Amino acid sequence: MHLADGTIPLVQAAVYGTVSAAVVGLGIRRYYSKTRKQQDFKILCGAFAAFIFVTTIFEIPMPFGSSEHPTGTPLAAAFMGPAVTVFLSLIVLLLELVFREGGITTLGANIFSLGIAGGIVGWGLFHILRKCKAGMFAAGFICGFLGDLTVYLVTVAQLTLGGREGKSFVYYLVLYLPGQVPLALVEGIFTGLVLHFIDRKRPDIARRFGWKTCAGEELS
Amino acid sequence: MQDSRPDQWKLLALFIATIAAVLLVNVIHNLQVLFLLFLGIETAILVLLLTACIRLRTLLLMGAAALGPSLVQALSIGSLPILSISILGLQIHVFSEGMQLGLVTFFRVSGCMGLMTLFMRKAGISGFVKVLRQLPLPMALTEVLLFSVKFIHVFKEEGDSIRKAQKARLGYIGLNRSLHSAGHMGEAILCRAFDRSSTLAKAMRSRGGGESKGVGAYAGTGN
Repeated sequence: MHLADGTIPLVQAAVYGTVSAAVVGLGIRRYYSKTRKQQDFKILCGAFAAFIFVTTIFEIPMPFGSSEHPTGTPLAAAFMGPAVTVFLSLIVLLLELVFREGGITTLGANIFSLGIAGGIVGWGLFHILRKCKAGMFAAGFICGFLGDLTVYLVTVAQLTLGGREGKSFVYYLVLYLPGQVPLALVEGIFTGLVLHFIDRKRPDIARRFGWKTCAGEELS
Repeated sequence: MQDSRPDQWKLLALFIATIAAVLLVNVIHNLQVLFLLFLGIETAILVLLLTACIRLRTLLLMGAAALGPSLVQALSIGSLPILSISILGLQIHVFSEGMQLGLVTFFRVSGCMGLMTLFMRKAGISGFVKVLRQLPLPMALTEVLLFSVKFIHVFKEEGDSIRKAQKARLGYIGLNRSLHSAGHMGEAILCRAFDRSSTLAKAMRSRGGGESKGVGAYAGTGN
């Protein structure tokens, strides 16, 4: 993802910007409400933003001013929830501007794919699967794998809608898939393993986020 | 404190000018009839970059990032080939339509990247945070940004030491073990982040810095 400046028309960039700004606003409200209840929430947000940043920095440059990389937002969403993840993706994308990744006009489009699409799908799948009594590794794997692929499907859709070359959705998809499917698999396995180990070794953290742990304990 | 104020305003002005220039480059590049004009703008940006002593490696990376999309467009878009090359029996056609689109993409991407590079070289991460603080943005943005900058360094140090320890125990031999080790590393880093955040929150609270105003002082950067 990380569409560079100029890869999509300004009007579309403005539309993505408006939608993303609204969701980021919701995320900030959620951040403030959680900060009031949990002292360390703001520091945790910083930690997860850094985690997403470190994950997304391993990238393969792609044509059309874009790139392929693991996303990190599905894992963050499993912990922090979708709204806060959208806010964190804004932080990550601002930080990546320093490293000449992404762009100013495409900030909204990148938040839309990385934060909104990746975060909601990752969070939704993880919690649905856990409710269906799936194992922590399986839930984490599907959350990471499908969350990552969703980010790229949305980016492909953005490029198709905004591409001035008139290329089809399938054309962009074929360009992305050879690199992205292995990356998504690795991200899925990584997410699954991280959640599995946290569940095994630190059930206190799992309980804090209201997950059902191996022992079957759950906290509101 | 008083000395740094003019710098902050200068950086803010530079940031606003950068955003305006990025928007201008986007708009101008959409008007393909003004090809020569935007060629001139790109040359000016390149001269600016060179005078700012941007490293050659950065320039080459920028050029490569902008050239990739342009090449793909030149080779895949259009119906009338202007050049045909045969490499190992594979016919490669360069189309005029794609070439023009490719040039537009090249100048647009390199122009925007050049402008951002110039700003970031001048401001750096702490300058960028200072600029964001002056803008009417929520305080949450700058405080989380500062914490995340701190944690990037923490993760790098911890990741390096964990990886070294895992390597010494042959943790990265074969795909299966590598993935397992990477999972363990991710878990360890996140667990330490959780522990560190609760310790830091307690320390901040005991020093009266739990509220938004005092965050920068504990984040270790910026101020």
